[in-house]
Amino acid sequence: MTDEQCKKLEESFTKIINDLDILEKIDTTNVKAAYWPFENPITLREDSDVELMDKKILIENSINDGMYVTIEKVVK
Amino acid sequence: MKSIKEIHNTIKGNKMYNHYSSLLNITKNVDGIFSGKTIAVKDNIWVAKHACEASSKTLKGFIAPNNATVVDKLLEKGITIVGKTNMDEFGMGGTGLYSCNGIIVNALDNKRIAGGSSSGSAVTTALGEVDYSFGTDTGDSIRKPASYNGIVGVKPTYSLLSRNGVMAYDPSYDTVGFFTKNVIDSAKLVEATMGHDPKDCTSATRQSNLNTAILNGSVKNIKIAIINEIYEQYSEKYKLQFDQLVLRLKSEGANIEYVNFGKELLEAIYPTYQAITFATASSQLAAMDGVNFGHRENGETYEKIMFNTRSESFGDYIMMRQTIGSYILHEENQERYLHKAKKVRRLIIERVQNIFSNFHATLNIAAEIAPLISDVKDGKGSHVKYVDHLQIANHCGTPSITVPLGKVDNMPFSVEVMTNIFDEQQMYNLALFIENYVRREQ
Repeated sequence: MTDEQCKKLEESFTKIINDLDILEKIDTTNVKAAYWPFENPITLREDSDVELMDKKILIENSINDGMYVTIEKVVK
Repeated sequence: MKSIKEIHNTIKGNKMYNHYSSLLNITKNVDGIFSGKTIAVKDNIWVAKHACEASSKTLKGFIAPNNATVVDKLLEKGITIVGKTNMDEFGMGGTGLYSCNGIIVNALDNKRIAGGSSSGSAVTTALGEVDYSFGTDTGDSIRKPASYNGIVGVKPTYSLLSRNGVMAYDPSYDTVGFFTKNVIDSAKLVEATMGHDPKDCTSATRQSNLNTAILNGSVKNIKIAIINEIYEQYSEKYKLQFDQLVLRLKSEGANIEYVNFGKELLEAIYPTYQAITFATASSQLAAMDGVNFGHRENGETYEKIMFNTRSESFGDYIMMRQTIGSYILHEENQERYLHKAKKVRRLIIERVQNIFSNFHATLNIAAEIAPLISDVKDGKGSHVKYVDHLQIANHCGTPSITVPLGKVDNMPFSVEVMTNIFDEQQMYNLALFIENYVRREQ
């Protein structure tokens, strides 16, 4: 990031954080409910059990398909 | 219907607007209510086996594996998709200035902004290149560009249309909607695409009352609230035209009252939106690290790959939003900003529900005319204070539509109709009345 980009980012950041302080003026003492727009029950999909595959096969298939390999954890 | 080649040639001839990211010719050989009709698709909505990049470098080369449910529903009814439209990166912006593919300009004056984030979709429908276009509306991203370009823009009730296959910005706000040339087309598109979708776990099981066959534009005995603080901030050029509409509504039997929303709450609309959506977006986009997902830059370590990828791929504007979002998500800031904003959102919702306990609809001037690109780049602010009041409908999940009312300085402006959740019928009836009124006055 260039110095100019950094400066612009800093200015925008400061302005927006100042704007967010408007929220502090509002009394929310008696607000107990969550913010979800309305009663809309979330229906979870009933997926069948996932068949576990050998990790070596998964990686080989991924490479063959030209897909990215997912790194689940980085160990330093 | 023009041939697809003719349509594509027209679009190519209008390339100064920079409104398309790719041209397509997709249809199913079925007869349906949209046979012979054309649509453009915002580039954050999946069309199977075609690029879907949300105007971001980080998604260059991403191919959608299948159709979004809403796309499928229209293809099944005979529609033809002619292309994908440019937008503000990942739906963040409100101007059309933040696409990795360049600036998208207004259909009626190329020195003015198109509005965003569904910029290209608004422009192509306004130019008459297509019959309709898809947009998404997280914080007025359909309705404001529709107003700036002189067309109809709708954001239906939150969760009424499936978001399966629609790239997320903030899942508690994102809503699919449409740009059209008239109100009836808008209603037909919503009616054809609404309904529960088991592939979207937030999809509503409750149904809207929308029935386009019995829309009649009658406003007799409708109770309408006009929000005082929003009305008062506009200049006489806008108010005079709005007042004429109000007089006509009254003469046709509508009961209209001016109500106060509360200045503190109106001032909090945009900060509330910022706190919640920036935090969510920074979390959503964390996946775009070049390792798990997305375009990848080189680097010697995992951290450097991420750093280089994200620095190179994201535009300045989206980086700013993610930086603030990450700041808000810091443990020590969550209570002060995020949790507070969620509570304020609840207060906004309660205020709107209180209005709808006494009224069927709200009616307000949607926005001023499209500002000049140079003014937006120079950071010159709007003349009105509550510039983001269209976001009330996003906070509350309520349906909202903008309908062109008149002109100021030879540029169009619209009025916004908002009704209670799942009451699309009332919204479209009032919108149809306004459209008929404008046609008669012209």
